[in-house]
Amino acid sequence: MTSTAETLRTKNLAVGYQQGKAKAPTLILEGLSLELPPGRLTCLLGPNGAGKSTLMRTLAGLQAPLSGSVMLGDTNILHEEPAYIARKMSMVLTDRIEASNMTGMELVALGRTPYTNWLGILTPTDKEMIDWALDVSGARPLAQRRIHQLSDGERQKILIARALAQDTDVIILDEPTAHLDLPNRLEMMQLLHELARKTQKAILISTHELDLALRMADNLWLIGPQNHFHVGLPEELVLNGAFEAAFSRSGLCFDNQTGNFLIGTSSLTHRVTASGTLLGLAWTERALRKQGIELSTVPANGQITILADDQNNWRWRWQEAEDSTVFHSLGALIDRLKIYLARQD
Amino acid sequence: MKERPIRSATRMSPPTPQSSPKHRLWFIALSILLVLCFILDIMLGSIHIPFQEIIKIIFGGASSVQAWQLIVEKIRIPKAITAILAGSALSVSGLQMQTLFRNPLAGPSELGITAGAGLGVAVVMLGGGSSGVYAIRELGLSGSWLVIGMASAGSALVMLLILAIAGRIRDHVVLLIVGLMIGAITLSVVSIWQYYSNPEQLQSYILWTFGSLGGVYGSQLYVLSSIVVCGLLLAYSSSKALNVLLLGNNYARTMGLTVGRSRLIILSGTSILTGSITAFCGPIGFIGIAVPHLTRALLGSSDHRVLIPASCLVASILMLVCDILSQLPGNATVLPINIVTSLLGAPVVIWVIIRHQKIRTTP
Repeated sequence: MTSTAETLRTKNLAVGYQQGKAKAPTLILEGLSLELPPGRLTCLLGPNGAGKSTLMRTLAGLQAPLSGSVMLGDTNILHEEPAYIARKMSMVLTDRIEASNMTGMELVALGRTPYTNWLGILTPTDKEMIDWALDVSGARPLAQRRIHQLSDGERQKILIARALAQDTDVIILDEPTAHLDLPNRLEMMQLLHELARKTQKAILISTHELDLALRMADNLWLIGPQNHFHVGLPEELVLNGAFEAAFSRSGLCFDNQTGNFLIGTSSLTHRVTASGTLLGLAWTERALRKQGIELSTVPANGQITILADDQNNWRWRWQEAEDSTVFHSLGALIDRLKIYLARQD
Repeated sequence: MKERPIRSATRMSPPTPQSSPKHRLWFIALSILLVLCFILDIMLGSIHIPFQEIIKIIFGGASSVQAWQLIVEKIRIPKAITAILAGSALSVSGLQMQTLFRNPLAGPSELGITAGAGLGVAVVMLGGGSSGVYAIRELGLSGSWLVIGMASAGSALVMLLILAIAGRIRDHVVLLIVGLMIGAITLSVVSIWQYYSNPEQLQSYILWTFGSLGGVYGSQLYVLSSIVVCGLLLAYSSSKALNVLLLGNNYARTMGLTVGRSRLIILSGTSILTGSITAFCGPIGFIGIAVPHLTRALLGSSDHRVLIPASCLVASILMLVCDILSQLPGNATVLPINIVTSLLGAPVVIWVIIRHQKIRTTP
């Protein structure tokens, strides 16, 4: 157990891959001078093919950089044996594990590999580390189960326990939320966020989950268009527009207010007025946006009033000149609005 | 604040991966079964020898009939020991290959490794030229080493080839077919060679291809057992690496394994085990692929520190049973051992394919 945590830093790192021996290497990202702060959850975000996995593999020493160096404290990991790196840095990969018969406990115990003797005999210290890793990751109930019987979320959790048992200052996880459903994704991010705090480890994950990364990450590494690399707090990257630049597509728009993606904003062609509770307004707005209708608070010809009782029975009153109709479903309201808007055109 | 494990004596830990009582029970049961099969194998044969006499001879006593003593000491015990050596060697090389290739269908005969060993044997037996016929039964001590060396080199050659191809092909079944093809090519090369060989050389080679546990005597048995023991120790010392390799090369690397070096050690262990047994007993199929699966199913473990010795036990028992069956009790004919192992082993492979429904997808 190291008492002084060593920080992972890169110096003018360029990553890419060599395709065949004759060809020139393909450069993906260059000029990266990054630092992975301990006790923080850092999220690496970027569109598909932006080089997230390549960067992570390079940081972990699984792949050689094209130039530059990856430093752990004062040592360049490029010049170190895997056995040395394994005591400083652990990884959770997307590789599928198909070891039949292996229990969760056995998997976590494999995390002690860098410390055990030639036969892999566990010492009392190893066993304590395994116990601690199972507890702190919440994977204790999975210890006696076979890993091929675990769900995706459970398997991810036991793999995190394995990485913790490896007792490293840095943990790198490649897409830990892939294949998970929404509640599991939330739980996983929450767990990683807490682990970074509790253990003072530097945790780096790559993910596609913008929303979760914005909410949970302490620090963001964002790969933007033309492979521009942005580093900062999530909030900073939203404010300086890096986020919007990285993910905007035609028909998709990043809402700087909420940190959400809005669908169909560019095709909002109609506008109606609405009033009601905040909750009612928010969800009515979402439903209407999909139909290309924008809500506004400026009084206009047509007017929607959203009504609700304490039983969560929602109603929508549509007022048009002297005419007033109450709808019990949003669908019916939208059908009515379409007729109205067609007449307006 | 850093949260770290606290040393506490009161904590009740669930059983850690090592030394579970269930495994110990299996080891005892298998050992007893092995001893029983060993005695049974020595008892049965074309000539009936009473049980008391067998026991007397095994424990170093002198039998009342000298012929019995000779039969047991010079024929039956060496054959039973060869069966144990062959079973252990082939099953452990199969186990190592299945982990190394991460392919449940890997095995020495299935991926053409045995055929590679056969090529090595052919080089010695057919390539001896006019300098004299190298019938394997007549090999002296140096000849034994030569044939083992060539067979192991042949195995290693095919192993390297398969390993290189496995890096490109991610489909288990396709790799199996490629292995069979490489085996076929190797055998064709040997066949072409046979065509130009003289009848005496050919006869001894053909006899070798039938496979037999008998015929390893005296100094040859010492050579074979020392080689196999070395191979098994090499395999056992790789068990930590094998356990880590279960998670795949990338994980193994991030857990501190120098993957290339470990692969080389595992590969040489496998080649020595397969090569030496194939050199002396001929190609023996299905033990290498089937026994690791049986052992895993029996013990419910994935830990090579348990699986390697357990595979040795299971395979030894199975080989002794095969040998007993090959003699068709009450009959003077002896079937080639390869036929019996195929009859018992092939259904196991079918069971494995059915059980691993997603066998084609690579981990």
